[in-house]
Amino acid sequence: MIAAADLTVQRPRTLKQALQLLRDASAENQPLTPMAGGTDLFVTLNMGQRPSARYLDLWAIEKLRGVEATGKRGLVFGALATYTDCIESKAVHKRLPILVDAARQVGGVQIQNRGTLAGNIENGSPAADGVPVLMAADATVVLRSIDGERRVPLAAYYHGYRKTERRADELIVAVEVEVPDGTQRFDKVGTRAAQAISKVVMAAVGHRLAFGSVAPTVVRARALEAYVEAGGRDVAEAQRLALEDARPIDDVRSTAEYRRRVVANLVAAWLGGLDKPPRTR
Amino acid sequence: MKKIGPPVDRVDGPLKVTGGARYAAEVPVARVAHAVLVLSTIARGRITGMDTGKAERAPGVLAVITHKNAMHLPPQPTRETRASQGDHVLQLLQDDHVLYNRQPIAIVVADTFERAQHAAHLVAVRYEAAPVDVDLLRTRTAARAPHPPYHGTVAQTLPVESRRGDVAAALAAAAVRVEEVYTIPAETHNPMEPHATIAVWHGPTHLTVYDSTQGVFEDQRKLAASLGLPRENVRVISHYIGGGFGTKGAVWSHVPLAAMAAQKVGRPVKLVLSRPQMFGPVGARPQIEQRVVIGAGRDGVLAAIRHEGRSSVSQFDQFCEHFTAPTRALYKCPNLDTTERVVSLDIATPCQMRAPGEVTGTFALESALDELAVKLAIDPLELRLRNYAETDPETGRPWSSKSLRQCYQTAAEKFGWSRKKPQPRSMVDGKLLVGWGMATATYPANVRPASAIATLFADGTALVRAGTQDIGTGTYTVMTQVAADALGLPVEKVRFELGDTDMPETPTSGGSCTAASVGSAVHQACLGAREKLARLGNGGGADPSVDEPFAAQLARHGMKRIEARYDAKQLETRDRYAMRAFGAQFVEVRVDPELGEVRVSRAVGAFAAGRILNAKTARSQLLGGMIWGISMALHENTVYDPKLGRIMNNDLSEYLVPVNLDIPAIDVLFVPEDDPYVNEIGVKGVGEIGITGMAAAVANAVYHATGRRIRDLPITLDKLL
Amino acid sequence: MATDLIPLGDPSLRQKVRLELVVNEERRDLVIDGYKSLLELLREELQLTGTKHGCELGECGACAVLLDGQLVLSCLVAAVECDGRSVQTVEGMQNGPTLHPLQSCFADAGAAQCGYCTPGFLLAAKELLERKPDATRAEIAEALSGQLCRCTGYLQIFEAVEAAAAQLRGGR
Repeated sequence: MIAAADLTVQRPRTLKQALQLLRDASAENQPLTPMAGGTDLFVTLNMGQRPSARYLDLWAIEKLRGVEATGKRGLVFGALATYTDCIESKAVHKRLPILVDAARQVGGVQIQNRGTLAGNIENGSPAADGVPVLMAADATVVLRSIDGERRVPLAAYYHGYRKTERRADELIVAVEVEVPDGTQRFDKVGTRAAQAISKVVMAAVGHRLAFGSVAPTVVRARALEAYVEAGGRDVAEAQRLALEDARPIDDVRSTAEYRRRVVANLVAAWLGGLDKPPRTR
Repeated sequence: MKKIGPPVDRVDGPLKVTGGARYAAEVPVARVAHAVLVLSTIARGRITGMDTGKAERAPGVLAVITHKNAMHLPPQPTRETRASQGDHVLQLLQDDHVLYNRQPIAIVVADTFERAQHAAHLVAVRYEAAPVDVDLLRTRTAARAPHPPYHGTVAQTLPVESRRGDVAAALAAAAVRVEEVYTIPAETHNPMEPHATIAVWHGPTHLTVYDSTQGVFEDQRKLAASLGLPRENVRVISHYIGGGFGTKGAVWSHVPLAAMAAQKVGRPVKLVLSRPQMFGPVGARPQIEQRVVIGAGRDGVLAAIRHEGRSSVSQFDQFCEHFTAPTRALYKCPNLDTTERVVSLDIATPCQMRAPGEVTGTFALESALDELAVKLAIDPLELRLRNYAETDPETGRPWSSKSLRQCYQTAAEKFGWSRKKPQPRSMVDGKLLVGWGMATATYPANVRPASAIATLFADGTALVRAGTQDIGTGTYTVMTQVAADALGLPVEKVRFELGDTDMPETPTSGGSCTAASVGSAVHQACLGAREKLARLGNGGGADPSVDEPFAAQLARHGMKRIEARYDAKQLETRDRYAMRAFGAQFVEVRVDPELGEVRVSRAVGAFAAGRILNAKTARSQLLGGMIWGISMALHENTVYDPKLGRIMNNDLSEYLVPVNLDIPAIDVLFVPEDDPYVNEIGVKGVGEIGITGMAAAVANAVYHATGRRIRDLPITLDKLL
Repeated sequence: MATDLIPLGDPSLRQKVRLELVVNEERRDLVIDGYKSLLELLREELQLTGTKHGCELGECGACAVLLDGQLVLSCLVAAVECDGRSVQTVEGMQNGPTLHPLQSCFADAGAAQCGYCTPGFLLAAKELLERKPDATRAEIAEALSGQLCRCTGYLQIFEAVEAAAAQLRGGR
């Protein structure tokens, strides 16, 4: 528990101000926690807890809003692009429809209006619904600091449970996707029909496959992808390989054994539809 | 009187859709301070130290009350000396013992809610923790007989054992036997409105409390006894309640604690529990394990039933779910043994939750009957008809009314039951397995003494008052209807007021007794007022619809008003008849065989519950009950950490209640029933029966879909793969 | 001004914040504690208690309001963030003495039982019908999926929203 310190939120109006604040704060070794819609922050505040003493509220930086289509298959999500933005974007519907499926299942409308893709990525929850879709689509996280920009594949963004690649003076400014070819598929398995924290999520774009809720982070099924890319179609082997990356545990939401079986069944279903013509919208 | 009353719009509807209905925490009270509870993080042991300095020094803080500085209360009741069902043994900061996880151990008061909340987190507590035992299915603690019924006046307990015939011999001789164990986890009520209390002292000896409660009078008694005040010095007011489902049917520790805090700071105090605090210190359905043994002939005729089980209770208080009660009443069976036992665990005291006993018992019994039907290859509905109880099997008394056969028939027809293919996994919809299941629903027709006052005014309107509560069930509306009916007035001319201990005494709203009990009192008070008017003479008959209106009669006598009070007695017919409501539940599920996901796609319930006062509010009650039953079958589970005794899913994203996308097409059918014996107005109550039998119907449908019998609720995905 | 420094969330600070916003079409000029959520501002400062306190964790929808026409959970929005913006609560739905069709249909359909979830449902439904006047049952269900009703009166709520949508389309 943090003692009553000056818990503040800085609200820059421009990206440059934001990056300067981040730099200054990290130089003083008092890092700022970036926030967007505030959905996670207020939950902890309302519990009377102080997860971090200082926040950087990005909500006023208009430049970071929205979704943009680039080239023939590109999508750029600003750091403040919300789930509602994804649901309402024609380009997302056309190019990455499974992201719309995922976005529509994140909380209710109120959360979709305030929750952001970037926040979902940075928060690092293994149960995030949007992240497996982006990871299967080979998304790139664009990090910027006052010194410049770097691009990190989302698949390499996590170092462990809620540990990310971002340095304290950096900010996610965008998420870029060049949507690969191939059939898309999104499966969310839950007890309840809506507002459910997933027991297992699987997202696939062509041969690329990502799972949520089966490991400390959202993971790509690399071993299985290599096998399928090389032409492998044996179901039992595919299931075995998927479970090399998907290593679920027992928790309050479900059992490891159940999740392994569901992963196996989802993989079988995915494999069955893999060589069929891609879904159109 | 019509058997099914008109679907009159709720009289409280306009207030509730405009934000005008004020719930307990919303009553404007000048200078109100805000309190937040600090709860224990261990489940058993002692508090060895509390550092409250930081909290006390935090801005805006008015008091931090712990066992070291709390007001000293008169001796509190114990498990052995408690007086009534609602008279819980509370934790009121009188010692350093920790008896369960999330026990109130301090209360922080500040000028704003946020400051109180913040300061509550600054209270540092040291404990000496003892090992805990919280899981009924893993405990080695022996089950024991529940404590004897309460010593007080409002004992509502049933016998915990019953015997008829020779079960051992009948089971030994039976051609077919089913013997299985069924388990139910703790479930948490979670009304949308958290418990909330505002305590206002008027001098040192008089207290007014605005509380979200199902029983203003129980609240008044308990507050008075806890604080050592005469009962008449305590007034409890509760005009709107955002749901209760049992958790607000008893007074929990936070209510007297709010009053203690208000006294300490010399200001009114508002205390609202957070959502996580709704898990633990305010009751839950107990964990229950039941064994059902059935012996029957090849024709499906029941020879014997043994139904025994144990439910969890706290170490310091008593509560026993009478889960064998429906088994004693549902089917004709010459040999029957029932036994209810409890196991004391390091948990908070469980309490009533929607249809206590009846819903848990019917899950076990109605699942076991389905297993018997499968074994005998008899249709489950046919099996029930072969064992239909024409009289109460326990007492031999005739039913005051029973229309279960019509319920079966109506619901089965609507559902299309005759088209069922009996084999499991024989019905599919694409890749999904489809299953059909059914079960019987039942709930006793409870009536408790209630009083009411009716006043007729010279302007032709009437005011009827009773202290009772409207927990969302429609009490305001149906009592207005009952009064209007008895007075022969249109509902617009009648005003009904409730929710105040200054009004005539009524029972706690629970056990589906409010419509019957308060309704009878309202009815009689209104008749009494008419009679009084008639006795004034020369007005002739007392029926204003065909004769001289009230207003004119009163005017003629130069009177501004006339008033009559009725204090209910138990009807003598209650001893001559057995009284229960019955129903039939039919359910269709779709199960994904690869993922184990279960969705209820369709449900039909038919109910015979005496006179239905208002078709609209009754439908809402029954629909709500049925959906609760689906939720019990598929979702609800309060998960304890077995080592630490902590509740692990203490919020609404981890403790699952149904969202609207879970709700299938549901038909509620009323079977009209005329019951002249049950009470003055022929009402059996509909608040609870809708949930009974539902979990079994879902489990039976899941078996039919998948061939898997799930005897351990909830039926989660992992149990089906 | 380069940045706003908001003393959010710290009840230990006595710092007051000046706030101008429009609540139910009425301009409000307020000085409040910086740490207030929009929910607490509405309920405790403005006595607009129609907006309900259900979980403060963004899980139940009871505190939903419209912020510049967009549905948000007021328990997760800082009051200071509403500076210069417009808030609508259930108290602002009716037009003088006339109930909004959603309100009258909720009352008629028995969609308000205990009534505690009702204001949140009403605002979520209003936002939907402004976006999609002819929303289907499935669209209604999806739009309301963030609202919990423990009386589980969801069917009556759907019926009420459909009836109100029909009235609104009829130009009433």
